[in-house]
Amino acid sequence: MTDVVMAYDRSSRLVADSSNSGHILELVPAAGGDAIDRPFFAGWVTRPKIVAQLLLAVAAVARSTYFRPITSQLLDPILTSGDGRLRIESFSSCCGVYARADVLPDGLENVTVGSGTTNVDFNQDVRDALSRIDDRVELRLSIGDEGLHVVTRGSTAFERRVKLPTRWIKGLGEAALAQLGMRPVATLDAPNARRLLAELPPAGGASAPPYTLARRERGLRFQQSAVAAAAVVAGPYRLRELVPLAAYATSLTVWARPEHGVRPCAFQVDLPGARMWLVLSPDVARGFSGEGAALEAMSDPSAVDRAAQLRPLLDWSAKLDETSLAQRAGVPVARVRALLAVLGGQGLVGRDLAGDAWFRRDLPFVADRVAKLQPRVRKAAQMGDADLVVKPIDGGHEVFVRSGEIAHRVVVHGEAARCTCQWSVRHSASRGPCRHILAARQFLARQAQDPA
Amino acid sequence: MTTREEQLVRFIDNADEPGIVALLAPLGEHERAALLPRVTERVREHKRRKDENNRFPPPPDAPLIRARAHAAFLAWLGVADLGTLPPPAKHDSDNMRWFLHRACASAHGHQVLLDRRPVWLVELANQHLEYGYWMWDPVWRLIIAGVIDRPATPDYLRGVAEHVGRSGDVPVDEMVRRDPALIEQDLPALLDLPRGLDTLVHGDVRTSIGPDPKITRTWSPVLAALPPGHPLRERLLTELLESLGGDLGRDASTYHSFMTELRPSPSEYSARQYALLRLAGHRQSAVVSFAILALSKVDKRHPLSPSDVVALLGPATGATSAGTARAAVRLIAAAVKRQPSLAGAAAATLGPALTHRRPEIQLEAINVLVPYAAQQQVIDALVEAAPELSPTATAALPGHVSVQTSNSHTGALATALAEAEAFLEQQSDPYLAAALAAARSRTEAAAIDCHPWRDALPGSGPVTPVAIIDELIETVLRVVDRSFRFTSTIERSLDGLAALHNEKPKDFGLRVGPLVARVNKVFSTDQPTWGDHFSTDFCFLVAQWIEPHRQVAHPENVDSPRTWLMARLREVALMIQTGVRARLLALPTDDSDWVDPAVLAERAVSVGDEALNRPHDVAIAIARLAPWGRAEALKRLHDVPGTLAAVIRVACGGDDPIDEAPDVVRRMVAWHLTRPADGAPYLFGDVAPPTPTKAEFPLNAYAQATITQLPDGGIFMDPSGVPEWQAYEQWIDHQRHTSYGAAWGMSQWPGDADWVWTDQLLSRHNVRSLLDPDASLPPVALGRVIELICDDTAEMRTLATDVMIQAISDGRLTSPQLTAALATPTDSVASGRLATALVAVAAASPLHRAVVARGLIATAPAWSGMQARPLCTILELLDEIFTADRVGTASIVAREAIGPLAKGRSKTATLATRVLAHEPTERWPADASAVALTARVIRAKRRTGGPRTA
Repeated sequence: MTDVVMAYDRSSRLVADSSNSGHILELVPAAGGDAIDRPFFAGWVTRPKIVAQLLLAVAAVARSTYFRPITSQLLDPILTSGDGRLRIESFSSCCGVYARADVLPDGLENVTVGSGTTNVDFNQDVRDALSRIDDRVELRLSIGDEGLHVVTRGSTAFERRVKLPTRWIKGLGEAALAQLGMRPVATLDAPNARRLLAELPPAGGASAPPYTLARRERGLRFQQSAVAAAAVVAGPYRLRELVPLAAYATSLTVWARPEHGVRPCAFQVDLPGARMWLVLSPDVARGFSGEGAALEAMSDPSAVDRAAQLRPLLDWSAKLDETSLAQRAGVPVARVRALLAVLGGQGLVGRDLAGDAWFRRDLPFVADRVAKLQPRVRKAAQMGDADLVVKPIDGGHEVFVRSGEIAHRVVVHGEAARCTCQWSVRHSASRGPCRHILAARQFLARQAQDPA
Repeated sequence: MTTREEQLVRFIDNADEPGIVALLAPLGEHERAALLPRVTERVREHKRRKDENNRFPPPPDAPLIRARAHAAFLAWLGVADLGTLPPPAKHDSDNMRWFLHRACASAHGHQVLLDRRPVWLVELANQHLEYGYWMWDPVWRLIIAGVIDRPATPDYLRGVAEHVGRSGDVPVDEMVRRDPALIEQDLPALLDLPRGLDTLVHGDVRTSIGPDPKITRTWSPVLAALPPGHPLRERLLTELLESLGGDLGRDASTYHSFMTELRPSPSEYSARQYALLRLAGHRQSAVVSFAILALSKVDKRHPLSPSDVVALLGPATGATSAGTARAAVRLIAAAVKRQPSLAGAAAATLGPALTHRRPEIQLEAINVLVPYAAQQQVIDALVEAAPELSPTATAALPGHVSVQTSNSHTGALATALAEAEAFLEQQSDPYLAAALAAARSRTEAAAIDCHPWRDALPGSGPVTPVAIIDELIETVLRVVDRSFRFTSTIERSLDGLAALHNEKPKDFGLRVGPLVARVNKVFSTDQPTWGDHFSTDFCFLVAQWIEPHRQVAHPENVDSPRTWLMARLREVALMIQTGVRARLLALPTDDSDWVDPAVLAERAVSVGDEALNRPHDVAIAIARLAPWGRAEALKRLHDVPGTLAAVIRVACGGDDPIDEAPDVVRRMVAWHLTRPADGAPYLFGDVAPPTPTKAEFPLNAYAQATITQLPDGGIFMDPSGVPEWQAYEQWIDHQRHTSYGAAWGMSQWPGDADWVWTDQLLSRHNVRSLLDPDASLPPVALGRVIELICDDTAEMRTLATDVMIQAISDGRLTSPQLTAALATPTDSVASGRLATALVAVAAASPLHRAVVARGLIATAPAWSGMQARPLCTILELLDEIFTADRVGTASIVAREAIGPLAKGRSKTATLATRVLAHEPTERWPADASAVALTARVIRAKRRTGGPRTA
């Protein structure tokens, strides 16, 4: 468990705008934090009802738990402003659903934009007020307040103290990595998007088999029989927060990696001036933590160091330009991609599938913690050379990695590796390498650099 | 001891509460104080006895012990002052305060306080209210008795909502009659509190405890009876609507239920119509449904603003609930009728309804727009929606609305005919030829009858034996960890252990260490016994490998799939114990679990008659003998001596004496040669005993159990003699045996899976195997599919629906089989699920809808008695199919079954009338023929190894 304190100067609120008949949604950012450039956002929204519904959907995911009956309401949504758009993110308490609403430039008017990331207070009164918003009123979003340039912890109006499970923090970072390599597998027009969302299967047990999203004569259908290259969706009821948005949807796109079996998938709902994303973990009973998508890179100390050096070069543009970053950092583009994946795992950049790019987002409570929280990386680093015995075999290496009273046999053939530990036997490569493989690879890399 | 003291103690010890009240009534405070020491002593004594007797079963004098304790606390209330009574406590660990509260809450306690009227009564009342809302009632009785003033604290006001009517002693309306300030003063003050309305709403519902819990309401009936215009009622209606507009989450249904219970009049709703109109766009469907229902009522008496209706109700017309969507469309229809100039705007607003998943909603929306179809906006909306419209909705479009209707079905049939003819010119295929003839005569093609034991094809991938010790360790690890996709992993592990068990390199201990650790973990955590599960039995096999001289488990009677699997494992354990190493004959050669006869012949040559020491391995090899390659096997074994070679020759169609073969082997060969057999293959074709039916845990079993008194005072309850308990035990035992290795068991006899479908549990485990287009689909299996379509879990319902879709697609399921399966009546829940599944099946293709329609028509007498909801679903489905295919039913039996449904003014009658109105014709649709023919071409190409076209 990790204690996180979200301190606010005052409560967020929806107030009438004295200058016209509209309303101002004053979202109060968390106090402190050097990433916040106050005030970092102010602007009118062109479709108040839709933006209100998006905010409510993201907040609902933050308050939801789709599997374990644990206390929900862990965190307020995270808001990132930059490049003329707003991104509002949240993560379910069960660590299995990542939600993001992107309010795009054409959904905003007269914007005064700064840049930064913060938690925003999203209390019941604000949610009630947002729920009552319709398109007949004008809505101005104001995040931060010019009158609150200097805020100290002592001056905060209230604090919300939450205990975040480690897997929650790790999962939020890994949710970005889960989107790496995803491709659109189906796109539906508005009517078929509405139909699909109206036919979401009900919640099943934790061990219920996943559904396949297969094409039918018109649209898509959730079915149990497997179809090649189709998205596999575990617990599609976790898409329920998209249902209220269906009435405004112009299209729905399903994203998945082109692999077999159960894997994370993403749902993109396009709305006028905005987009909503839900990324689902590959198992209802398991969140994104432990997917291990970037463990090999994160276990390489030099990659972590280089990624940290890359961080100051990140700007707040909607799409981080990998070529430009590579030039500025003086490393190849491919290396920049790998380093951005490391930063993604650390919660320092987010993934925008629609733009096929990373965007800067500093999770206020995750930075500097995620790498330390990867137990496989940590345990692999703890293994000394004396714990490993290497034997060359045809086309690769056989490495015996000591683990307690036994030694696990790791076989490394180029990019492929397997181990006799339970993790590796159960998950193969689907959830990243085990700690023995990480240790073996590091050991082999060290040997390659210094054969002596 | 004084006489008064003696008398009071006697009353306490006799639990004489009226006596206590009467004795204390005339006493002053000094006299009461004098009694305190003795009463306190009796309180402690009776409380101690009460605590000591809190056990099961209760002693015979438990009621008296309880009553004495209660009487003691009653007397204590009458003699102690607030400082000497148990202090208020959140955590009342010794229950002293709880007993005191009980005394205060009783009628006698109330009388004691009334008689005494101590100066600390207000403070005691506040303590009651702080303790919990259930002590509100004694406080209120003190208020209406006039001994304390009415509190205005939040605790008291919340108690007004949370406690009133809870005891049930005094009805709420009677309480209000006695104390009108509850309405005039307390409830308004409660609403002024933060979340006061929430407290009132949630406190309104009372659920009684017991086997048949009943829900009652407290304040809402009283508030519903308030006269129109009453300030409290007006305030409540307004605030409730305001709250409903917020983000209530799951509480929304509680709020709108409360609102409904207040029975607002159309006038009251009308005064708040704009709030209701805004609720129609709420994100929660329950709130939208509530608002639309309320608006429908308002609109009849006090017509709503047409422009507001058209502007705000659009999203509601796409509501998942058909009732809500229909009502929203009708409100828009009424608005447009009142103000026709809004038709264009309404056409845009009705977009969600025009593309609704329910055809009836689409039709409703089209009917709104048709009168205004001359307007360009209306035409544009209809044209845009046209591709998504259902057949009935498309048919309702006005003639001048240009809709691209497809004539592709005739083209598709021509293409399919040409493709089938071209194939048949090159090669023969009886099913394709029959389908071609059927397509030409516009009749339904005959079903494909799969006989895997006769016409199976090789699986898609070979199964390679484990070659080296490290591979064996990794493979066995997968079995022990239950981390494998195919049962061939188990077979490879078994074969590998049989063949490589005495190959132990120098560093064997290092290499096998992870496996040994895992097995030891299973032994320490699960403590399995032989026969629990195949994976734990594998742990015993690994233990045998590490310690070959271990004792092998005793043999069991082999008469079930589980015991067959155990026998095979035991044979390998004996090989390890005796140091015999050999490859197993039964290792499948492909991932469909077949053994190629030619490969088996080679194995037999290699192993020789020594293999007959493992008769179950040989028998399963025979059971897995693939239908191809038998001639090659016969040729290879032509001159090979020995019983094993003779056995395989006989199994491949040769003629040899095999009398010397073990009994198991001979019986398996006999079963193999006489297939198909009606019975179970694991009994060599004999009929298996019926499996137990599903039984729930008998909750009443312990009530009927035999009770034995134990020497230590406890009891032993033995329910084993109760029939329901025995049935439950049998079911649990059956579950345990079935879960030993359901998929592995099924893989032993790849040519004969019919036995699986005789068992409910096995059917659930293995229904996915029916997705294979070459899997046999006998009537009993189809019956299980229908049963699983009505299952309680959504995943299983979907899977069974998928099986039905797949079976129609590949030609294994045609309308005659579906008719036979649908003829079995189902209960109301099941019929609803079945109807829903049939809609999904029919949506798959023109072939599917034709098969479903034929099946439904042929079984009309069976489903025409269904409840209204599933009945309407079926009638609507038939109407859609008939419209799409331009056919109708000519079946006299069906028309006679549906005819009576068409009478009256119900939705059922409307739909039945529409179904009967279609032209009576039995013509098989051309596009259904095209789909069926194409599927058979694909099948024929697949079976001849040609390129797949799909």
